[in-house]
Amino acid sequence: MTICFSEKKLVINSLKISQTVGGVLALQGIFRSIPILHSAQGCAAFIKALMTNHYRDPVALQTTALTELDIIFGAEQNMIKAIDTVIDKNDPSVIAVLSTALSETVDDDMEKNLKNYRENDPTDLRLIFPVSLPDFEGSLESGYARTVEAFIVELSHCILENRPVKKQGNRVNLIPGSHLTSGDVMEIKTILSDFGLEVMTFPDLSHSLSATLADGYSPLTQGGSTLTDLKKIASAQLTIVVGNSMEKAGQIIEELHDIPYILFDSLTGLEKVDHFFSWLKNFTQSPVPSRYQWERKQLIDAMVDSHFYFGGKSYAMASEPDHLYTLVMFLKELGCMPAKLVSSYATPALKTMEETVEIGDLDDLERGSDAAEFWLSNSHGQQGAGRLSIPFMPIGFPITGQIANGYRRQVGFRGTIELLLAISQVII
Amino acid sequence: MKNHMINAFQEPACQHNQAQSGQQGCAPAKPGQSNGGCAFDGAQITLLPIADAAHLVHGPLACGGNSWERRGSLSSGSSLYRYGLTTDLSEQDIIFGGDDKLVKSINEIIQRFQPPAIFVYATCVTALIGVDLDAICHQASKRHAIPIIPVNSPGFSGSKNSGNRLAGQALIDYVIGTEDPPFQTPFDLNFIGEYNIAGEMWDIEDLLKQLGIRLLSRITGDSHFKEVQWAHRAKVNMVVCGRALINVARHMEDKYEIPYFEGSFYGAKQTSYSLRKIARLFGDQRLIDNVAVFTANEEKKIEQALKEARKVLKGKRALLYTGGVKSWSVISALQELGMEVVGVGISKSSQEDIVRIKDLVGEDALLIDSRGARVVLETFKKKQGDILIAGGRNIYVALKERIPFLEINQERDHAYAGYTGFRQMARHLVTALQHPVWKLAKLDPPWKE
Ligand code: SF4
Repeated sequence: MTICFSEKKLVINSLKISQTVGGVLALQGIFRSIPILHSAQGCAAFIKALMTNHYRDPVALQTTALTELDIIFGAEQNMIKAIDTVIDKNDPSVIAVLSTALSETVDDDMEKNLKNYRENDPTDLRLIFPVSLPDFEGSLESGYARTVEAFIVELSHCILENRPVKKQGNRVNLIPGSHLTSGDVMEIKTILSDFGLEVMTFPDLSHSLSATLADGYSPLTQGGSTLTDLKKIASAQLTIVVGNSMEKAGQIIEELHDIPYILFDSLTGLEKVDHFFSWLKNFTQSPVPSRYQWERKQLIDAMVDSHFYFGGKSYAMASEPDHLYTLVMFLKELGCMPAKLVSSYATPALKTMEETVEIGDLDDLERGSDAAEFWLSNSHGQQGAGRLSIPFMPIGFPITGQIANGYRRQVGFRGTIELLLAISQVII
Repeated sequence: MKNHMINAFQEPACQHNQAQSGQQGCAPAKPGQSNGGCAFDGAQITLLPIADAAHLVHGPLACGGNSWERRGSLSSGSSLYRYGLTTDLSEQDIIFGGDDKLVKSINEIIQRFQPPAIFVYATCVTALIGVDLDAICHQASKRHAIPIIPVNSPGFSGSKNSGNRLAGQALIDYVIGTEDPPFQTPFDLNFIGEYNIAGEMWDIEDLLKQLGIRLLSRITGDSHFKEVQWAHRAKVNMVVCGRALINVARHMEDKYEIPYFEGSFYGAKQTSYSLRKIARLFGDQRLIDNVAVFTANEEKKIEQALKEARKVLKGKRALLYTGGVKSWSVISALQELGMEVVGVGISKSSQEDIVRIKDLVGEDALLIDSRGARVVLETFKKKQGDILIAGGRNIYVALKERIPFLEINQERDHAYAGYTGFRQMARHLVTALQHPVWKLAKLDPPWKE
């Protein structure tokens, strides 16, 4: 047991991001979809601003716009009105209704209400599903995972109706975790297709929140996997899950469609990437393309060249659990040691780590990091790093004051090199 | 809580209330087609710039956790306002009321930071479960002997504008008139509703200094708590740009006989006009004369400086979508640069603002009375606009459509007020319109069939 908890009563400089942000993010990876936040309108406005600022792209999101009176007289009507309006105006293929602390407090039974709603028009084929995402549990990472799980269950209903499905030899599913950027997802897809695999990705941020499938502005998502493609998940041989938080999503597909899954807890750092490539080589019975052999050599060269700078350095880091795990493992390869680690909520994976991780906020990180030589966290950590005069590098979400956050890579040999360079620029 | 709300919304000088009596401020949001912020957001916009106070959000994580460090207000002094403080209510807290956590959080803040005051913000959930913020803050205030101020502006009670007003009401009820300044001068001025976005107030303060006018209280951009307490000792109040805090000006006029006017510092003309108006309200002939000479000089200088920009901007068609309050002041600044304003968003403007806007833009311009990016884009195309000028929320909507854009609200990084700001605004307009990327982004790949 290597987890401890902040002793403060209040949160000072939150590291946690509400689960709903993760839910909204997951939906951005599905084409022509829109999440509807079941809450008062301000919650959605904050999330929109937060995400737009990080990704520098429009974010598809609507709200049931509860008012004080709606809450007294029934939040259900608002939900129905919101869905009707969104369908009427934009005709989305997928709608997720996300609960919040507010709608959970008034105990609105979204599941039942949505079921009733669907029964009114059984001919409507679009996917509409609820996800329970109260603010008082988890963080961005769990909200994203829960939304992906709920989506798979919903999608599977409509696939299972059209059974049987024939398995395709080279088809695999890819489920990337919330800590992976558009650039990361693109990199993983490229690697997989270089091994001759056909990939169904969801959520697919590789062409969402950046360059998108469709041009111009729309209130719906303009990128991500299409529903037509996603219906093919049942014909895959295998599901590749990246990030511990997404394991359950892999399990659900296994249960419902009898497709095994393999979990990669990280695709960053020499050993983790080596493991991935050697697995790919075995699975596909194809050689590792020479491009990756060269990239591997470059990574090792970069690690050797930089070891004077990284070796023995101590760092402070706060991030979501999967991201934290990934980076701790990589920084170990660079010879760095954590001065303090803080994460947003407790997960089984964090418990297995050798290092002690505190579940807390950015203030907890600041108070244990005097001795640290560099600081990694989202942009909210910059003020704390500044007070301690420690070099700061933004990671995770949200990142402000720089561009192309969606494209930055950290996976594969190439992504690991880029990450190494980015950190070295801060500490050298 | 109800009482504060009633007071805030009985404000006779506010057009929102007159035009739509029976409703609290603006029309309520519609499910499935809303984009606006909540009343809690509005209250924070108004109060957060009080930089040395602690701002504690009593609610579930999302309210405070998703919104902190998002405002463009800058401070030259304390940075306590940049701390994101929230009680982050758990499920248990919500079931049992969360009072205990709030009390302990207040204690912890005082121990850690020793702030001169704490603002405690209600949110939807705490309002819903019936937290008696007034009573808890009152008790804590007595115990710790510092002002602990309840801000009863839960999100679902209304729009951002209504939150601005409720925050103003909190200043009236708990802050203004509770201290005296160390000394007074004959020319003490307050700004009301100026938030020092991107530091633009500093440019104005500089002008005032040159004229011998002292900014006594900044409500609230770059302020410290004490100066808001002694705001009632000023001789003149200026309500800057928006009418959201008109209740504060009215209150000070009624109770302390401080005259006020509404003005703006966007564009050279309005900057000069506002400075002259300030001088007239002080009623000192020497000051009036000084300001007349000063503004004439500044205008001559800027005339020269803007020559090149005017050549580019002349006749360019702008669509303005600021969400209401600032529209008229920005329109007149754009027109001063020779631009044509072909459309204006008015969904959040008061009747009086709309009359003002119509006077400025004439019959041909389209007034957009609905919210939502789609309508803005349609109007832009219909009117063959050249540039969209709007709030941050619409930046990427415009960029996706490859439309030149200038950002003009709370979160922007650039100071546009005063003569210096106006020059900067002109420069940015020129850059936005002439940037090579617009041509490049429209190129098809040469291999496209
Ligand atoms: S609408 Fe209510 S719950 Fe949502 S952010 Fe505003 S105060 Fe918080």
